[in-house]
Amino acid sequence: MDSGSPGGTLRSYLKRGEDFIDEILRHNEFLRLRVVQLESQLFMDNTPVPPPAAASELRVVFEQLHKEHDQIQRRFDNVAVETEAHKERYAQIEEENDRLVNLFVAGHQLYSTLELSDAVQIIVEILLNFVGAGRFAILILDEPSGELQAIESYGVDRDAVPVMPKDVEPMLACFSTGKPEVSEAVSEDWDVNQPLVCIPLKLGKEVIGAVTIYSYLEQKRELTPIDLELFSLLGDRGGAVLESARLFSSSDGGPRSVQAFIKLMKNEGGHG
Amino acid sequence: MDELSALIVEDSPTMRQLLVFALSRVRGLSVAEADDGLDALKKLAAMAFDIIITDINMPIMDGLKLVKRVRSDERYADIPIVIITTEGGAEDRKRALALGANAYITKPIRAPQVIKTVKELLKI
Repeated sequence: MDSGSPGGTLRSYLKRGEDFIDEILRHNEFLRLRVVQLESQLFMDNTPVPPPAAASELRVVFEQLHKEHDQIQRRFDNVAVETEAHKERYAQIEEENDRLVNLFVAGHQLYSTLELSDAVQIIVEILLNFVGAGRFAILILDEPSGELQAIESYGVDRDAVPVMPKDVEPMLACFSTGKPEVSEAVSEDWDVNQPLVCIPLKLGKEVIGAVTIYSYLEQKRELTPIDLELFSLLGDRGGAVLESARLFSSSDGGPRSVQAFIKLMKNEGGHG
Repeated sequence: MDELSALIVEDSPTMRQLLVFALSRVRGLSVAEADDGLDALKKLAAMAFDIIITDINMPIMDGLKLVKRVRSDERYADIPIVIITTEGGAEDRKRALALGANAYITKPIRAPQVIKTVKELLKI
């Protein structure tokens, strides 16, 4: 039967119909697979797939958010840097407060008395409690002999503190510069003939005595800027305080001369 | 914050002034002073304190005796005690802590160290 016959025409239509159905089935299969893929993806992302127009808008929003995120991150970084700077500044202010409190209290206490023994005691307390000196002595210059003699000591027997001529080291440097001679060493070894620190006690420009430090308390590891300022404070004010107290006490029957002063203080006993 | 109070027990006026200055920087903390252990006990009987800071070497009643007396009185059992001393050795620290002190500060005194210790004990 040829295709021109009614039967042939029918078969042709049936064949085309079969092809069409096959194509639809293939397409349907493709779509079904695609639906499964998309559903699977949606399930994984848990995100509804927006229509194409909405996606474009979302992309714009996403870019804006990304920019904002970068800006916030930059601000956050800046704040972190500022916070570090503030912390550093706070530590500096704390250190400055500590320094001022120490200097204020030391200065205030130095001028709080005209009693000779109290004045000496305050110098001892500043050296012990504020500086952390473990062994030290306060010496006064006997001008006629040019020698310094200990009137008070701590951590070392006062009689063990040698008489020191003012024109021999370590006193020579101290007397010539009028400034504290300080060794940075904070070791446990000590020698009463070689003080680590020698602070001239001044009355105006005149040096009338000295403080010698031989060692520090066990827990003191290093000298700090506050210690150096306390040394300067003691040097600049200590001499005047001791001399004022001596003069005041002399008006009330106390020692009228430096020699009498040294003798009196020696008789009162030290902390050694 | 409720007002807290500290009792400084120290025979040296210089040290007392330093400690008062240091602790006056702690917000909400008022500071009272006693010359020695006996004076401290009188002040403790007269008013309540939240913390005691005491020196060890004092006349009349030293810091270690004060710690012992305070800890043996149940009214003061919970008051934190800070010992201040020149001695940095482990044995001395052990002795003070065994008697009931809560913390230990060694000389030379630095205000930030005192403030930090007091704040930690008062949890402020």
